[in-house]
Amino acid sequence: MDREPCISIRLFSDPKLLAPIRAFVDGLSKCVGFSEKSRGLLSLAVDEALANVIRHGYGERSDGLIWLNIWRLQEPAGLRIVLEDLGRSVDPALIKGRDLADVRPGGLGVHIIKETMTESTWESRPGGGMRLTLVKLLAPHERANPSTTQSENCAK
Amino acid sequence: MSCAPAIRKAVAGVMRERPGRLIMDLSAVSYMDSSGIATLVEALQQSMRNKMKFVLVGVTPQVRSAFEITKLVSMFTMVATIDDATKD
Repeated sequence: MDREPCISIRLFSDPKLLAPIRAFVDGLSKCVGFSEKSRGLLSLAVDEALANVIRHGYGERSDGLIWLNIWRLQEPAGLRIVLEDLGRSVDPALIKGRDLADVRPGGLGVHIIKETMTESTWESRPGGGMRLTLVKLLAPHERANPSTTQSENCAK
Repeated sequence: MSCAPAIRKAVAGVMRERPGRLIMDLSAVSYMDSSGIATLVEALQQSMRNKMKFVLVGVTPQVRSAFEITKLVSMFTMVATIDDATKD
């Protein structure tokens, strides 16, 4: 993996930015070769991660800073997405999805992230805030049937 | 995230009228996050307490994926059309 991310975005903790970021992640993951369903779930996971930062990290303030760094993985193919913020830091051990047998609202976002991503790791960020590392690898059927046209259209 | 409070308020208003059935048309909803799903779980639970039927209509593939990943799809009645939703 390259040391430098292929894409770095700095954004404010404004919920209005969630839709354009989803669209961006969808487009990028299409380039990498993810299926339509995987792209939807990947966009949903990033959206949930950002929403958690906005809601819990920054207490719904819209002026907090969030950094989104993305690496394109080659062997195996996929994406590594790192979100960092300067919001309220929490013990990563306390970040849990809820028991799905207990049907109630709440705690679904973390569950969605964990179920959707190949890897998801929360850690306290040196200097304050949190860092969330998300990795999603192409499924075997996506590797076997790459969306060639889309991949060719993406800058290497 | 941004629509959930408005939907929760709208559902609460309808619930006060105690209809026998609450039909929610989602055919124009192309995206739903966990706060949207949580809002629908709340509505489902309220409808069960009030002995009302709660039916979702026209659930799009993306929204269905979100229900599937949260393993809540079997909790809801989902049908294709409003006509289907009005049938017993």
